Amino acid sequence: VSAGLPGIALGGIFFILSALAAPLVELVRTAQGQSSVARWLHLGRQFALAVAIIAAIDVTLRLVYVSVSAIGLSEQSPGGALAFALVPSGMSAGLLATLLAGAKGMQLWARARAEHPPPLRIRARLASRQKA
Amino acid sequence: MTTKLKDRLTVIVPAYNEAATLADTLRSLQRQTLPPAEIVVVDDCSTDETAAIAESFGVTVLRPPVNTGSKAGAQTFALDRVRTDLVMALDADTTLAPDAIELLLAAFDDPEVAAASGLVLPRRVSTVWERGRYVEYMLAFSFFKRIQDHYGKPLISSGCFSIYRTAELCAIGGWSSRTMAEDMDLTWTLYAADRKVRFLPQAACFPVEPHNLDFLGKQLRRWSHGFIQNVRLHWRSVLHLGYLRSVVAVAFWDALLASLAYLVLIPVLTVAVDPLVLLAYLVDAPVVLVPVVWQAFGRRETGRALASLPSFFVLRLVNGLFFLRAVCRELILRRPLLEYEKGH
Repeated sequence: VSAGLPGIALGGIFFILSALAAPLVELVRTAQGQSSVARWLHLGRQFALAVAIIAAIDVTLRLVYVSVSAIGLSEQSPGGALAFALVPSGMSAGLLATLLAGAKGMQLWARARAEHPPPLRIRARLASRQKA
Repeated sequence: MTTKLKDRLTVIVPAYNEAATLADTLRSLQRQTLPPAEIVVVDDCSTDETAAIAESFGVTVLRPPVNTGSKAGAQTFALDRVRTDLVMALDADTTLAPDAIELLLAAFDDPEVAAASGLVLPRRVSTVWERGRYVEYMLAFSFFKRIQDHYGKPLISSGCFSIYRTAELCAIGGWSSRTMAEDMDLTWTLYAADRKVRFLPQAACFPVEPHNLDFLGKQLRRWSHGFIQNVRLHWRSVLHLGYLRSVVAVAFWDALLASLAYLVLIPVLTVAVDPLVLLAYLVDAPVVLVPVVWQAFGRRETGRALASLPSFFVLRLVNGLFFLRAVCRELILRRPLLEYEKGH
């Protein structure tokens, strides 16, 4: 996601989904009069890039599946290549959704705590525990 | 319009023993299509010819009474004497494309924009570490960062080349030394103050990246610790910044999990289950290859990009090692990195 930080697994999916969702977001902005031709051109480039990445992942997974089947590690079955591609993609998407929901949950928890601080009695108990 | 803009900008170049690279940096500044009103080099008590080189270019040279201890300290030292409404930070080992300043200033047509940064690409692409970083930058700046900008939340306004509104910067006390990644700290502080940050890929800069493992280690230590320190420092405000919250959550998760997978899980499974598990190191190659080749093709650097690709997979193993080490020290042992180590 950022230079110097390893890993692009969930980040890759997250930004591909962001690029695919960008036209919808831009439609809303256009309706509000906050868009421009330059913004549409920019997002068009990112959208095309996301589609190209998905195509490349699909080809790679099919190649891996064929190779794995060819050397006898797995039996080839009808629709097997599709399942081979969908299972890890689905698991990653599920993990990403859980992660983002967790982050959103933390935000709601933080907001609730700010709006409704715990009763004085509990705060006093927490403070004494911290002192100890 | 452009003449007005020119009079609005001061450039601060923090420099500690930068005699080898400073001349190129100042030359690129003076050859801009829109030169700044003033260039200030902060000679942070260098022991080499840094000050003499800066003076030979006729720029303003400031020297703090003692070494400030960090890039952030040196930059903030010069902030007091900035009289223009925009200020630019430029690393002493970074050159600019001739039109970089002119292009980046366009971001400030929007009065809500407080900071803007441009495309970063290594100036030298020779060693395995420089090649790995070249691919990292091509990937990050051609795909990830452009989308972040589209959603209005670039993760960082890069410290090596960014322009800020001086008043906004002064209001938050300049660049802070409280973390090892002052650029990330500043960007997230601006978001918390409800200000906009932009990324303009057409404005390009070219830093010298670490050419050996020694320099790379110093840089990765700063970046890994800096990221964790900023997450700890800003997590409450980041939680309320929708898209940034998601980007940070995904970045932290990926960095942690990928480090464990690259350095522990894959080697163990390779030995215990099947050598073919080694393919897992390359399974995300398409996600890297497509944006990098796309960007490289536009720059007529396809050959260089393809030749550099293997280095990326080596570099990210090293990234993982330093990130895990930073997690252990910052979050488990509670021994934060406090000393700024220069290393490009």
